[in-house]
Amino acid sequence: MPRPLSAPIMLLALLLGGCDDAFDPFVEAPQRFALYGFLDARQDTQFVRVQPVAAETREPRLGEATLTSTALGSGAVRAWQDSLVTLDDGALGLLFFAVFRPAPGEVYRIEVEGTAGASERVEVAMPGVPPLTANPPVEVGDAITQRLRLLSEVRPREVLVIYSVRVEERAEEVTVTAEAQPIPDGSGFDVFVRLSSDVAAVRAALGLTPDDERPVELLGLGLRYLLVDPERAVVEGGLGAIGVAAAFEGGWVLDPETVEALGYVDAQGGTR
Amino acid sequence: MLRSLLACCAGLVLLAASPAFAQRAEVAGRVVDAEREEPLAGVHVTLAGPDGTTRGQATGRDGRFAFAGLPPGAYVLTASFLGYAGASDSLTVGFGDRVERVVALDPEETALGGVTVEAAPAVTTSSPAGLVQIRPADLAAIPAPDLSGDLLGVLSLQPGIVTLGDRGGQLYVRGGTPTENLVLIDGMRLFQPFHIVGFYSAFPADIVQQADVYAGGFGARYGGRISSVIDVRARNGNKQRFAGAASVAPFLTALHVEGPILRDEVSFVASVRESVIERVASGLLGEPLPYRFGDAFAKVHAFTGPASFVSVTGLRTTDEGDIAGSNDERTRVAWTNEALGSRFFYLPQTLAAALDVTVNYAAYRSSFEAERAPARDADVKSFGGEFALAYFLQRAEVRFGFGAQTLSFDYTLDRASGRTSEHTTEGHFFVETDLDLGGGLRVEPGFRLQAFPAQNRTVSLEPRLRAVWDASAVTTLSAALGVYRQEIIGITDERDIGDVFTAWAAIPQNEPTPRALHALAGVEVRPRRWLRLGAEAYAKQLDNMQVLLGSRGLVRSQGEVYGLDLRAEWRRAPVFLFVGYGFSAAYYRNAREDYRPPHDRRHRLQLAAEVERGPYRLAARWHLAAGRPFTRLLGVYDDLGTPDPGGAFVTEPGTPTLVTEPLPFRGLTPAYHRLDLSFERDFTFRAATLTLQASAVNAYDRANFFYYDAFRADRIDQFPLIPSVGLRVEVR
Repeated sequence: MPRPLSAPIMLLALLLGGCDDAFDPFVEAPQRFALYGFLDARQDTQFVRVQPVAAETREPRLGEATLTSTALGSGAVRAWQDSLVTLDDGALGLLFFAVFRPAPGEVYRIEVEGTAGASERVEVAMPGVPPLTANPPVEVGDAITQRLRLLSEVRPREVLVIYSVRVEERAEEVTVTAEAQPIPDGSGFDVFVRLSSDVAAVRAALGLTPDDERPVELLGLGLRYLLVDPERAVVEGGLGAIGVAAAFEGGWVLDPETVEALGYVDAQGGTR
Repeated sequence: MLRSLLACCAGLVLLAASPAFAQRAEVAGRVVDAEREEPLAGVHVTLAGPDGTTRGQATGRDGRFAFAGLPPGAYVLTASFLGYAGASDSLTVGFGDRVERVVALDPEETALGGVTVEAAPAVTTSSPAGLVQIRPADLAAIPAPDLSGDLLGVLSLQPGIVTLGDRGGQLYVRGGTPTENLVLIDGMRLFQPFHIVGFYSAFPADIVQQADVYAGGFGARYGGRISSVIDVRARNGNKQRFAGAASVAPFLTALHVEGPILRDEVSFVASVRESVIERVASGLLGEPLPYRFGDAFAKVHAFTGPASFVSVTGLRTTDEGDIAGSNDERTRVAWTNEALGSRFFYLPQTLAAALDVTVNYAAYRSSFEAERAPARDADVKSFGGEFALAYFLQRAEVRFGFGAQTLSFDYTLDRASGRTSEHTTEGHFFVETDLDLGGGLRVEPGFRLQAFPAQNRTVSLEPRLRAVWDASAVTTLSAALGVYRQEIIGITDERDIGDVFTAWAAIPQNEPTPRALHALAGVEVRPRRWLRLGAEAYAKQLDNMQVLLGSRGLVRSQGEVYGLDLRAEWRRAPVFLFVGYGFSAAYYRNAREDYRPPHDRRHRLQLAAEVERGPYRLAARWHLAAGRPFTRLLGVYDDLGTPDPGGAFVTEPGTPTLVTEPLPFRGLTPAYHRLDLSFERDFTFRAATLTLQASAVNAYDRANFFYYDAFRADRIDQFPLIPSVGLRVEVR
């Protein structure tokens, strides 16, 4: 609400100050940085791109910022190395890297500090090993399937069912792709293993013809998958995002009756 | 509810037309320009009767006047108007007679010989209850960089009207946004009638007969917008002879022709303007002004009887350019308006009434392209009409009408939301009365019903009241109050003045209708015939506003606007002086924050002067405006989007992105001021007048801030000093 005398006073100030045409569009505020990167448990080296938010687009300089990561679980602090990379458009970018593999389930605090003391901080939680449960196999007609339940908040990608098998003295791992479907209540994902359909793929991988009557021993069953979340941690104000990626593998045991119905010789609990 | 209100109105009309009243006599008619046969609004008409009573009226928008309920006897009818020789007529009316008179006023020497007459205060621009009436003579007094003249020059002089600058073509009236203004020409709606260069609208002076500008508190016959009304009545062509004018200047070229198609019965008027500045700016100013704009207008007018006419009006405008002023087409905005309409007007001989029927079509297309950003475009089309009837009673005029519009919208705002196509219909009904309560008090109560059946919204009832009281011979008090709703909105990003792209759309189904409550009160004092002083205070409450705030999309907002307009006008030959000061404070708030919108210029001071001596005319205008709010920046960076686990983010260039402080509009731009000058010399020949003009826009070359291009760290100012010469030839 305007006060009664504010209008004339402000008009007077306007007339007096009307000659000043200087304009500064920027607000005085702590330096900010945009961070884009991935903590990838499959890789030995981790990368994070750092961009100073500046009054104008400019090329970065080495040493204008430092980046450290702290594993909150173990307390290990790591200083990252800065470097300049040539971007696809020929400009230079500031890239930090560190040689380590993030640990599953660990939370990493990534901090960028500018030379003026400003800092940007983001905490990134690596996915831990999600619980895996196997429902009893279901037989419908000639088809035998089994549903596995993976309690992960991140959708599994590149899901592979691993059959560890042995023919005579030759042991092999045969992988067959599978799909993960989200559970309606959002608690995780279901993977449907087509046990009977996969038998042909396993035998083909072992080089067995349909007429070959040599016994195939089933040593074990496993599920291999990748958990990737590109926006695991979004920097405050939308200034970048840190993704995570980790590969996991879990196993389960099939009951002897189903093993036999599939035509395998049950050797689970042996070498696997 | 609608049905019962219609019944009430019909009853009111029947009551007024009762036999007892009809036994009295009536004197009605029109006042027209004798040369052009155009109706003249605001003419002071008096009727002196046998009982010694003198009745007075000002003619309406169509030059109409009507005195009803007269006793039989001899009367003297007189009419007087600025710039015209007065006229009088004696007449005798009998019991129950209805006498029609067309009073033709001859222009004084003002226009022909360059002799200025002293102004009569009753007919110059006035401002009762938010209304400013603008006539062609007012347009000539404002310096402009060419000689075609434009309505926008006078509009931007009004204290309550704010423009963001010389570029962009946006007009903010008393805290409202540009898309909340209702702009009409001959009853046709225009969606964006202002050109990309801030000196020009779609209304060159040559086509304007009169413009009624309601900065608020407008009556019930207007609806669908919540801020203001700019109602332009276009001129009719000369029905006796051909005439025309052509002008050329570095900003634009203009051509205007008119004449009879069927002598004394049918005429045409046409106007074409095309910008030149985009071709000559680099050579003239040393910097590009990449704005291309133009407009074309045509109107055919025909008398279909002694008291009826029909007209057809068409208008097209085009605009394109880079608001930021660069020539490399980094950002490009373009828009076009098309409108076509027809009007039929009839004054029955046997009834004290007037019938006004309009049909109209309007289309508006806009597009915006920016480097490394998805293109946006929007179309809106409307078709509709209105049937209105005015009924003249002894001391009152009742106006009512109904109409309907169909509207279709088709737009793309961003890649994520895709293309949207919508269709809606609107219907309205209004009643308003103009009551003369005696003692100089006139009130205009009314209401408007507005319905959007396609959107299943309830019918909105919008009561309105306007009052003007001539408290003494030199003092007029006025007030207005009203409720206004707007069911279609123009979506413009409020944060970025360099982005004037507008998409029109229906209000989202789950959102309430934007609503405004206007209240205003004013006083006008005329201590001398040539001096007029006015003050008007106003307040607006704004509810359910839909404000586009960048990536947050449409944000429901509330607001309040308070203000005070002061004006002083001196019209004493050979000098015209105008001083206007406007204080306005606008506050918007949403669920997250309170802020001052970007058009909240708190103070505006306008000084205009004109001196005319013989064929010479010198005009000057100085304009001072306080800074306006803007959202301060933290900086820019390259947005890489969602990181790719494959490592593409390591070398990806990204998209330049602005980072602003969390709370919007906390900064204030520097104050704006500018002096414009023009000097003209007329050379009068027998059938033509040649006018030479020298002008300077921003005469002292003030660096007025307009826009900051953060991606280039480049400040873009309003227009620099623009010297110009112009030539106009007018053939009579």
